[in-house]
Amino acid sequence: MTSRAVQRILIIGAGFEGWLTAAKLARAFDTRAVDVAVCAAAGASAWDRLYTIQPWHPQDSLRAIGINDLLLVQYHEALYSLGADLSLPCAMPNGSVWPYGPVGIEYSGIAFHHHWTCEQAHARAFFDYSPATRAIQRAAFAPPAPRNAIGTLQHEIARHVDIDGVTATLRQTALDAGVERWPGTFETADYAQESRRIAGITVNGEQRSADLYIDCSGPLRVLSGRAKSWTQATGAAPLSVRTDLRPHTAPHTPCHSVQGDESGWRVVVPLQTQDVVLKLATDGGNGRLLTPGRSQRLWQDNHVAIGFSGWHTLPILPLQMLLLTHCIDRLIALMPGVDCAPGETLEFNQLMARDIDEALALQLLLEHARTQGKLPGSGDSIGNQSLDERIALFRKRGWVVDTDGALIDANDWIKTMMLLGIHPQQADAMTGRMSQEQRRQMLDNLDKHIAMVVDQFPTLHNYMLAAIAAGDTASGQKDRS
Amino acid sequence: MQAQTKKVVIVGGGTAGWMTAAAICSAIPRQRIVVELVESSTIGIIGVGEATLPHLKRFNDNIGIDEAQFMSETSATFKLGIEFVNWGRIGDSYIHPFGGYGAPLANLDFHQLWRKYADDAQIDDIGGFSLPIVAAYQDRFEMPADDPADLRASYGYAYQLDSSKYGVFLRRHAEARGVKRTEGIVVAVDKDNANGNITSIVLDDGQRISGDLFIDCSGMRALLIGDELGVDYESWSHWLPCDRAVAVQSEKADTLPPYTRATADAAGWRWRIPLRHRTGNGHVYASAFTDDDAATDALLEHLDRPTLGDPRQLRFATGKRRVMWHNNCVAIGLSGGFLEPLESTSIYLIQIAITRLVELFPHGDNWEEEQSEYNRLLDLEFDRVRDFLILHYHATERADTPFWDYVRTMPIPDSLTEKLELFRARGRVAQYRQGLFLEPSWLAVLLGQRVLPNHYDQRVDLIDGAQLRGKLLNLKEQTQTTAAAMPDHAQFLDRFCPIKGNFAA
Repeated sequence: MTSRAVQRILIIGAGFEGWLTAAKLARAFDTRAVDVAVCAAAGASAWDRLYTIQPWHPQDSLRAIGINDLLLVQYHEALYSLGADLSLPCAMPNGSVWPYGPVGIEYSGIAFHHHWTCEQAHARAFFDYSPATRAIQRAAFAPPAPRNAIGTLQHEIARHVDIDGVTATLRQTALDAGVERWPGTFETADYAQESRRIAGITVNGEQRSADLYIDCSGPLRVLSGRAKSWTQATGAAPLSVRTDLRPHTAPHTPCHSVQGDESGWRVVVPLQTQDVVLKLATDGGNGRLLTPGRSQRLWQDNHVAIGFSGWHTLPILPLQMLLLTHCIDRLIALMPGVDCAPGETLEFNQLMARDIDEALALQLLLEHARTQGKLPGSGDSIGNQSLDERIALFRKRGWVVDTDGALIDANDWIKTMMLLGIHPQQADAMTGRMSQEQRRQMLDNLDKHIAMVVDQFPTLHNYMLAAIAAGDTASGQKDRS
Repeated sequence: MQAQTKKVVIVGGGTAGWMTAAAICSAIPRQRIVVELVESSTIGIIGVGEATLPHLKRFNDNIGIDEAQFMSETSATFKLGIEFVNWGRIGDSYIHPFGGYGAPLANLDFHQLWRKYADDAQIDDIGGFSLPIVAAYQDRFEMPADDPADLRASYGYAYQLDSSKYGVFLRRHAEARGVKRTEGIVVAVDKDNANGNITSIVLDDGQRISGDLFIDCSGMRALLIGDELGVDYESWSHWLPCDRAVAVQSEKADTLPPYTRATADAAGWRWRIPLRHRTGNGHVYASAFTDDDAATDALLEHLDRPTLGDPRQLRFATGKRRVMWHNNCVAIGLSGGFLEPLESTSIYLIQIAITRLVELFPHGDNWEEEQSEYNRLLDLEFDRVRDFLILHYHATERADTPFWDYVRTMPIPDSLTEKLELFRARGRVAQYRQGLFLEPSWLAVLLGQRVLPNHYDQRVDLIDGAQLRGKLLNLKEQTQTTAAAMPDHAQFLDRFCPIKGNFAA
């Protein structure tokens, strides 16, 4: 049986998540064929600043809807970043930087960390084989490009942006594309009898209905709270969230800083003139409560939870934005008919659960180091069996368990394990296919090449000056045209 | 920390045994491993899988095998896919190609664009948009191009080979790299009473061979994993009811198609695999629905050339061991599981088992984590292949025999039901990265067997219809033209890997 295509989509929540979703839907489906409307939900943008770090990648969400880097640099305080600088209440033998992009190069079909494990007495520190780490140490920056790739080793970047400004631009982009803005604020949702299907919602006392409802109300979970139960990540405690802005004073380095201690996390994300400070406290405080975990089913019947209404991850690494982008893209790729057939719903929920759980597991490692003040030792349990097994396999032989997710890759796990000093005790047996001399030469050459490439990077300060000037030029040309 | 040297004992030669031996000795340095393979020339081998999948090329490349030499010595031909005849309905045929269909447009998968015109007589055959399919039907072949922009980069290839010769070839390769072969029949197995590990095997001449890790390649007998360690076999015969096969070789045919054919029969299906010196034929059937004589008659009746030798009967049970790695024993090949040869998966499942074993090759004395991960990964492979195979039987409109009526109406795994529901709604294919058969394969069988999505992605309608139709027709023409310019398969083989000597039998 054929069900009619979805023609009316209502997004509840007019914050960053809501407007990004609206703009992407409008771009994908054309508002002449599908009506997309946004209505506000009180407090929906409470956590927008947790999206300050925007990972840059080829399928970049913002660029895809016409918000390019020049615009971000010129109007939205954008500052480029190459990684995170972590401080934890425990020794970190491999330095403190979690760089974006891979560390080292696969040789002879064997991942780099195995080669490093064989030669750690001879080699430099593990993260020195990341161009991003070396650039952060020099406060230098260059965007990824073929000219600064070292074989297959290419660093990755993120942008820190003024999220309020970006949200305003997204709103205008969406409205220009034909998205409708409903006046007033969401009040209630009416559910069909004996089902969890939404029959309509009330906005400012007026009844509205749609084929598909998207909950972007963030921590309020105005639709999801009733219908979808929450699965808290094993081993992670709730944290209260507060965000502040302060003037930026120190010279810029291309990274954000993360400090974890017994009181919680403090994340400082520099912009061009300000710092966004995110405080996650264990004492409850007076902020909203972030409970690491996810809704059991993000999509149920005709309503989907996107963003903080569907999952909570810690803003230590920029995973929340990656999840948000994946989630919207998947919704577009799996857009059902009006009957919201279970096939698409199930596929969406399974794929998202896999990715969210991976992101949570990765962060749980860092959370453990923060709360326990020590790294997971051999034989230690961190209260999550599958994660314990993953740590044991990595520690034993550098093996990264692949759970078939699309978001977190082996490099992310390797970087996190190595950052926390979880070193493989034994390298892959196939490393024996290279002689010690060959491997040392490979490491030395790689070291030289990285140094040579990173030496060419300008300082972040100079790069930003040039980028702002280019933005001025570009906007000037635009004005003239 | 330096790992201690491990002694690996492989019980059983044949394709699984020698592939394992060749791979282990190629991947792991000799100072860390000693490999001994025990086989008896008096015990026949089943020689599974004359037809293979594209992954075998990578396996061969990784262990340093020269492709042309390998093809010459195994009388191999190239394979661009598998043709399925009479599966959806009697009279239907389609090829499951080693490549995709068409090209995406505006971020939309090709099959979504195609679905809009599935009733258009000039576009309705999606096979016309697949270069490997078009080339295969014209008996043409050439190596795929390296440039991704070239249409000829849109496919991969596998081999159709004489598996008994492949075993011999691998044996020579492995022995040259230090694998010790011992002739003998295993008559007893010694175990450590404390932990249940195998400590040694005893041969019929009294020789006792000890080892650290034992690999059971003894085929369906499962001498170690089954008889000695008692690991249960999980039967999937309720989903895959074919449990017997009869095989016979016939003289070489006039043409040399670069594909294997699987023709549905009354209670199973018949295979036809063209090699350079002969054709391999067989009939896989369900004994609950037909008998051996009728199956043999059906096989012989459909041969287009005289037979070479007598038909050979085989029995099997589809399913797998509850775990493939138990204590210090790993089951590889038929001892670990068997999913009938419909999609040429036997050699692939051996290959992936070996690859995972090499990756997780145990260090030290505690192997629990490795075992657990290995078994998880192999379970995933088997489960996903299983669903794909069941699809061939279940997605049929045939009800002309009790066998087809049964498979058409039988309950299927939930995981497959979910995939079918997803596809039927709007043509979406369940996404996963790990596993053998990915989206193009699912599409080939679903569409080939008339599982047409009820609708297509609504974004397709955002593209101008006339423009889209024109693009599809251009693409089809380009596919036809590119295929027509490819060399004849037999001529390509003669140039690439000439065979010297007599091909008779």
